[in-house]
Amino acid sequence: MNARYLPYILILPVTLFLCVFFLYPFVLVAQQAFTTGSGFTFDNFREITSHWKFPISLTNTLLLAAAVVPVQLALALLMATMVSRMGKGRDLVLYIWTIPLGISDLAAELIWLAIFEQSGFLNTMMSGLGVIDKPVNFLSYEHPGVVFLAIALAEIWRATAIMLVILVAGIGLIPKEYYEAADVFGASKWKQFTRITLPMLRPSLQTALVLRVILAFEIFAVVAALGGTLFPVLMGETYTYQFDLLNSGAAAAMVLVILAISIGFTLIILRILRVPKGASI
Amino acid sequence: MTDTVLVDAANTRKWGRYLYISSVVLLCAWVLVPIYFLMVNTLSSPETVNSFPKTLVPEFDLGSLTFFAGFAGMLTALKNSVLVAGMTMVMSILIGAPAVYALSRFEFRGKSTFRLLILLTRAFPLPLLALPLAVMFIRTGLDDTAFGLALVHTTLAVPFAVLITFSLFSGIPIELEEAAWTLGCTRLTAFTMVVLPLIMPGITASAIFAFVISWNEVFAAAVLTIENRTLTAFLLQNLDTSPLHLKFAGGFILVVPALIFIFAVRKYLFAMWGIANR
Amino acid sequence: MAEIQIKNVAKAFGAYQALNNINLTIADQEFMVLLGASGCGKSTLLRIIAGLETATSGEVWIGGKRIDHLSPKDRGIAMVFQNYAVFPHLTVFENIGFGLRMQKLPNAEVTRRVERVAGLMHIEMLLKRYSGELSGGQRQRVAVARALAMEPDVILMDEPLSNLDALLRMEMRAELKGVLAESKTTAIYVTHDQVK
Repeated sequence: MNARYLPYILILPVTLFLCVFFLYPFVLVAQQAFTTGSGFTFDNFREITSHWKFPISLTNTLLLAAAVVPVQLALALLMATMVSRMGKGRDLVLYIWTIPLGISDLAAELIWLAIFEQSGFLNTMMSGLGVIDKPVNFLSYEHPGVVFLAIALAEIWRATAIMLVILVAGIGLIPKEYYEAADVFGASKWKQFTRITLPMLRPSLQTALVLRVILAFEIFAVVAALGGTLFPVLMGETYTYQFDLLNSGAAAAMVLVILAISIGFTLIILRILRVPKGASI
Repeated sequence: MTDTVLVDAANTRKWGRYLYISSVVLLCAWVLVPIYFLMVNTLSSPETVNSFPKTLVPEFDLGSLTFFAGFAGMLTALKNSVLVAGMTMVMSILIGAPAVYALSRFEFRGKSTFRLLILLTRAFPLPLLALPLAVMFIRTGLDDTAFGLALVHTTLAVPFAVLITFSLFSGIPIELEEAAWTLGCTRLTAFTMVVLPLIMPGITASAIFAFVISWNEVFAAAVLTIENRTLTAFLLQNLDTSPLHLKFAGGFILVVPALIFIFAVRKYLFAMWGIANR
Repeated sequence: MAEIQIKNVAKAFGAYQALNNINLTIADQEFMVLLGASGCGKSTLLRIIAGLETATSGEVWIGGKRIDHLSPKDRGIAMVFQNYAVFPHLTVFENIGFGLRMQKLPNAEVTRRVERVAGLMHIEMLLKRYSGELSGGQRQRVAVARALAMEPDVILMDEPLSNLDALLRMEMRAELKGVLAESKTTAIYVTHDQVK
């Protein structure tokens, strides 16, 4: 087979698939966002941005991502390096740490609901310790901080594993000779981590971060169960426009806003963590 | 003098070891305890689940679960979920893997555009993709079928598959392939004999993600199926108005297959990781 | 007979001219050392002979046959890579026997040949191990053994010793020369190491 055409043949199936199931519906959504029945217009955008909930849900979404993603990155890196030095029990620990990978956000929200709800385990433990007299309804408007904390914890709990797996696989590909060489030069474990592991891990870090950050902007189900209407986020508002207000034009406009933010952050991450050509292993 | 230094060093190491082990244990507990709480709730009678305070051990009452299993349509929904997730897994690997090979081994015009397209897919709030697709599916007769839903789930999973295998692929030295060529391999046999075994961890990981993404997906499943509901869509439909004990039992049913699935592929996955550790 | 003839070979990477009209004849069973500073194009020449790069212009002949349009597997060459390229997922035995298996040789023949070259390279005791369990020097030996097992007309070596420490390098060098002389193979050895 001619090597010049081979790459194109190889990418053809994915390209076709994405055109039909991604680009085409995307064009439909974009079309919807810029029309209201009477041709081209910005009305949908004007409508959503002027709504009082828009700035709140935008801030909430960004705030949540800012709180959750760095913690997840640090935690995943810590876990990945811990596992890489582990001898016995590595398989078991790795299995336990990757369990949340298989757990849906629907299930995760129920798990954390069991802890935070009024007759839940947090209340049980706090009253057992004598901190509170009677169960507190944590997930109410009186405790916005707790609501935020519960959502953040549920997200960290659920979605750190995906970064962990990518990083563990990435660390496994770093030739161990580099560490042996560093040992010879007397580099400390910390130096080895910052000078070898982190730079060599750049492609994996890139992947892990892009996936995570984008998913953070799509957060919806966890919030819906734990925060309800107390903690509006962009995706939740999109859902409301589409199904409660039956305003698909506005929903489409929301979609484009989320899309713009996601692309912006993806480009930033790719730029910061770019791998110089020829500098890969 | 040297003695104290040695003792100090030994002490530091010992404390470091304790710190290390306790962090590992702590992180395991962080993952396991919330699941345990859910299990306690599931294995308690509906009355206990709704009462306060909670006990920290399950009473092994099957009341909540029986109540849950009594719901009509549960088993069909479960079967649908497995079917859709399995199809998603196969399709996303079949169409994703060749593209990854092209990305990591060839320089070609349009490569960066293609990569951007893949990334863009991830940047799109995909659940809403289901809305225009629903119209399209009704026209083509794919609505309310497992295959139609699997197509949408594959769209969700393929970018994951491509991104994950790509980062692993670029870690495999091209010399291994070149060596295989000089040893009598064609491009294809070099791929199957050398590259494939080495990227199996990546492929396996991608396959798991594809399965799990589909298994867990709620929104598109709810929009695109009516009779052939998957488990998530089925639960979502019935959970909104249901009491706590039904919610928790439902959550547990969602978690258990995921636990088993990850456990089942664990050995394979880790063995492959070991080999990838050059 | 495996005389290598390189006729007017040129290679450009974009605007950069890596090789400029190279003419070179290497006699049958000769041990030719290409010496030069890093990045002067000697590796590129080697890769063109192996078929891993395509020359911009010029011809490559081995044993009186023009081979520059053939794919690497049909050129009757074997190559030792700078980073050894020992397959991490196969044992040493399967690494050495890899090319023989690709030729679909019978099992007994594969075993015989692998054991012979393993003996030559003094790695008989490592046959069951994986690459990850070998030292750099041992991997080097596996890489050479894998090339020898093919019983090629031509063996190409791209800085095969540069990753070894000095003492090991001297030892290996002497050994390599002996082994290659015995196997009657034409060899091209690329290095930037002036001691050679």
